[in-house]
Amino acid sequence: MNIELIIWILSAIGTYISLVWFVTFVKEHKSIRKIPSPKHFPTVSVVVPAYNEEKNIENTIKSLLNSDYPKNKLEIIVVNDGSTDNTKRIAEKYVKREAIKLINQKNMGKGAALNNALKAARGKLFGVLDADTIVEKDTITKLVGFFTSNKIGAVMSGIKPLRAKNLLEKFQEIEYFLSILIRKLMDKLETNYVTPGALSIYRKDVITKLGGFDENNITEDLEIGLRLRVNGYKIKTSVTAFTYTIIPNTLKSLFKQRMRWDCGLLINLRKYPYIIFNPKYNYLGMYQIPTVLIATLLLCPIAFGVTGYFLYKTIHNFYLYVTSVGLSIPELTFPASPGTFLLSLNLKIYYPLFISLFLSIILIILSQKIAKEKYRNILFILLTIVVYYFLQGVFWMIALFTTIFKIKVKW
Amino acid sequence: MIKKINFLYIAIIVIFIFGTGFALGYLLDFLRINLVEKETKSIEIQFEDFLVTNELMKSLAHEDCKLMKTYILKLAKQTEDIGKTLEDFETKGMSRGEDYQLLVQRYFLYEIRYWLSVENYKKCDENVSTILFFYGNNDDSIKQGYVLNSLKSDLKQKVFIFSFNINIKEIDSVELLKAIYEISGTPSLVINSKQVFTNFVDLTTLKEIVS
Repeated sequence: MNIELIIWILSAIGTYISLVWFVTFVKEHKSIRKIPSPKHFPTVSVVVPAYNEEKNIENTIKSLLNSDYPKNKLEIIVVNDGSTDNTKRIAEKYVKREAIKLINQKNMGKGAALNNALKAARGKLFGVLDADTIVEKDTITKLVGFFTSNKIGAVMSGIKPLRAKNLLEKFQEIEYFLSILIRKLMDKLETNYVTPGALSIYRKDVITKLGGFDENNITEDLEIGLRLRVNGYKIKTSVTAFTYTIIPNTLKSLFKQRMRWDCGLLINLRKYPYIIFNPKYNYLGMYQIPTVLIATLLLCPIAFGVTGYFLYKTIHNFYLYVTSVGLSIPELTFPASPGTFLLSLNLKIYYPLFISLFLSIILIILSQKIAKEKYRNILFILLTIVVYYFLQGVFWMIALFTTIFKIKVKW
Repeated sequence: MIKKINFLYIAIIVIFIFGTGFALGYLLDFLRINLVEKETKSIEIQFEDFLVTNELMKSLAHEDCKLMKTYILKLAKQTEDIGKTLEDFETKGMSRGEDYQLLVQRYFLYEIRYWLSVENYKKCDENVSTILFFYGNNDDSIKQGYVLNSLKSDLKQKVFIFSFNINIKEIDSVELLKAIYEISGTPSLVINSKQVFTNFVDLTTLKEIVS
């Protein structure tokens, strides 16, 4: 197959996906920031599952204690999942002040920690907050307002990185801002299927009725999200209720995190395969999940192959050059006129790439506006798209390989 | 309430955007062909002018080396430029493939005529060398191309290189050249109409031969 044709097909699919979000944004931008005010304040139990989180847990607890949600309606439960560091001792400090409840369990994983807390919680709503994440003063109040009907099973916050110092963190920052926007647009199309641990609040009775969290799942937040959806519950998201989470600051830790996320998605889609192309689940089944599958199973490998092909061609030609004339600098030739330069461009490759890049940049800029963040340099956004999203593609490829060959991925 | 999105409407927008891209690509191909055609016509006229002038001088029994040199060098740069443009466009996935092929054939014909003139000019300047380069789609041909570019950039007006893509057929004069010099594979070089190499020749060897 002609390589240019492959690029056109890839770009057309990419453009189509971006345009769906763009059109949804244009139609819904006025209502995106709307926060339904809570008519009453139900009791909320916020659970902080923690395993060796001595560096972060204190800030997490403090941020919860600082919440403007009525104190008598907010229950904070820390589940110490068999930590071997000072996590337990730090949490106990707050237990003595009767500010929080502490559950100690032997190390059984996050799913088990959440189920233990589910049994002990007295709230009507059940929040899950990772121990490396902090909330803003009004985050919980803003989220509670979204429970306007019994069909809403969960509400998630807009997640931002707590700090982004190095290049890898700055790349992720762009990704997190974009996720805030995309999840909100998914909310409008009712295609959300994940409830991230960096604060999602659930209806406790619904979660209990559905059997609690899957203790053997590497992405229990995704599994419960999908389970909510297949049982007819909606997942809402807020773009004004923010949480701040610690993000991986090394390639190794990012790789580990993404392996878990990516493999978790593939494993859970295998668990709920009947969602795919099922009109019963509306846009979730007919658009969102198929898009994710096309992106991971088709676009990623092909894009990877095309990039690999160009990379191979460049390296191979360089090798031929060096082996024929040595390491000399080739004579530079310049086009005779701007017109000749324009004609020398291979628009058959650049045009579709330009269109999909342009739309991606627009969406990223919009996401920074929605996330109330200062605008990042366009060149940096471009660099993020080229470098970071290529890296994501590599992770997807490895995740695909890992899932196919059933290599075990740990938390 | 679920917000309705018209996916068909978005598909139409995508088709429109990419359709525009195809149209733009076709337009650029058209402009490329026109550009090369214009340049080729211009150089052919200049070449004809040179031939007529040369014939005129001959008839007057007054062959002028200085005049020949002026023409040869003037045409060399333009010939090289057209060759580069054609080579450059070849990698742009031209949708007007047939038109492009015709232009390349026309260029090869011009090259042969120009080569004959340079061979004739050698009686005025013995230091000038000519190289016929027959190339194909293989790594050795690419390498030979790099070597010849390097040689040209080192020796400048002392060497004249004429490149022929062996895959472009239907030109009898090129086929005749191949038959005369027994060219069957690529890369092949014919240096000063005498020495024939049917494999890759490195830069040092080439320099020794043509210097």
